[in-house]
Amino acid sequence: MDTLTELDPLTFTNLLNDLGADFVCELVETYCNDSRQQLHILQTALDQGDQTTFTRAAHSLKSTSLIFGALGFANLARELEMLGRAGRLEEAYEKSQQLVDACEPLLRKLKDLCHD
Amino acid sequence: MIDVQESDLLVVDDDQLNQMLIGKYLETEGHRVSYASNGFEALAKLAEQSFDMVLLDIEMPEMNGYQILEQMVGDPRLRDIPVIVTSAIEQLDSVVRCIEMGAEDYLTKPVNRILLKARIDASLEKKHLRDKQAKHLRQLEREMDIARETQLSVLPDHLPELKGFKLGAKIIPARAVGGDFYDVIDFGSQRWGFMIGDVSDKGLPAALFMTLTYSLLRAEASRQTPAKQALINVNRTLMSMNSASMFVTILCGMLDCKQGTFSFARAGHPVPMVLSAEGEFIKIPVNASQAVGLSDGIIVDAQTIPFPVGGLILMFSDGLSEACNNKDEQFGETNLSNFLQDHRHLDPQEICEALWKEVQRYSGDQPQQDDFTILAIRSVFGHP
Repeated sequence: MDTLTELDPLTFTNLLNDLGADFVCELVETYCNDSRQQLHILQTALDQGDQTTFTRAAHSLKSTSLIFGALGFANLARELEMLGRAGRLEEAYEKSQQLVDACEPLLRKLKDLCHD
Repeated sequence: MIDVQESDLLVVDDDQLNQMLIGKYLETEGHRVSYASNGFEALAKLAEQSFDMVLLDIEMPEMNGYQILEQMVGDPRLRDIPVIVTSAIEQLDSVVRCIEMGAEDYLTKPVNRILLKARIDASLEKKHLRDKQAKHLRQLEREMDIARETQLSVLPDHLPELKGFKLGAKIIPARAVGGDFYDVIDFGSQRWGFMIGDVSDKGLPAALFMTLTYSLLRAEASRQTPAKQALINVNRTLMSMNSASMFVTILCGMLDCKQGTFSFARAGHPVPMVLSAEGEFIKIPVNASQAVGLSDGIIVDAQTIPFPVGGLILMFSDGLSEACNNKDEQFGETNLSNFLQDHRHLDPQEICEALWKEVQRYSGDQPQQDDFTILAIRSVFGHP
């Protein structure tokens, strides 16, 4: 779990330097809403065996998490994306749950960084 | 260095976060940014507004980046807009596929600000140079069109009707403008002057030299200067103003319809072919002669021959005899002779048209290397 909620400090610092704190916090806010929504889509797709939607949601979570340096979270999303592309959804339940469990603690960390 | 700031860029990404991030980077660099969240929206925006570049995501619902790229490449209005693919798909085959399809560059997400700026600047600079080149090319084409029309306007728009003779002519420049020319001039008393010329080069420089030579010959013709002297005079004038070291082969002929004779003066130009009514070639001596514009002391070959009753005289430029086929073999005078014998009963204009078709057929896939000009005279009934 710790690895899944870890953030690469350099990535976040670079973002702040490049874009300014206000805009980064706006990005974080968007990411929070977006990742919750994508996780919901991912789980629903998994339950329904919808391979395409599942893969796309995992791909989106991977892509956006990398922006903030959430490398562990992004890697797990990537593994799910690969399972989705391979059509092996039955192997994705445990990893999906890990992602769900890690999401809120990760988002809290990001919000805390914004308020610092 | 070209200023690539303030360009109009379209970011196509279904992910709002990526739109925000890339858009912010681009706006910070001074660009105007528009957004599309899917392929249909992207194509609609591309149809209604002009963009300098598209940043394209691959993984999108309904219409993915590959499909958008395919549509852009297939559309003449969109294919010149550079596309940088931005995608989290790291696989090499995806990169290769996009580049093969026509994408300018590829960046993996999350995009790095420095890399994004470098790739965009480089692509925009290339696009600006391409646009500038295309603009210059269009301008040059317009000027060449005008030059072509001007050049063609000095050539006869129709051939005169001669008593007892029929004429045919055809000129096909190898480029937009050419260095060949021909003309038919009324000298009065049923005497008709013919001239055919071939400048050593092709394209615009040859066309300018051709126009100059043609004007000088017309001036000599208006003074009724005999053909040989006309060539000597033109040579003298050209030698004094020929800084480009160009030269021109010329054949000036005079048909006397009453006498039934054909006199000609030849400066380095191929000897005309003379065919009797029975299809026999009448041999014309090939005396020494030099092209105009080469040296001060020009040698001109001047001869007078009887025009064979019912026969044919063909004047031509070497674009006819030296046309090459796929084996690099020239059409040559043997092929020309055989063709004329087989088609001698045709009308002179029909002979010219058929000869051009025959040379095209012979050349096959080979592009036309030289200007093609022919001028044919046929005696249609007995003359004195």
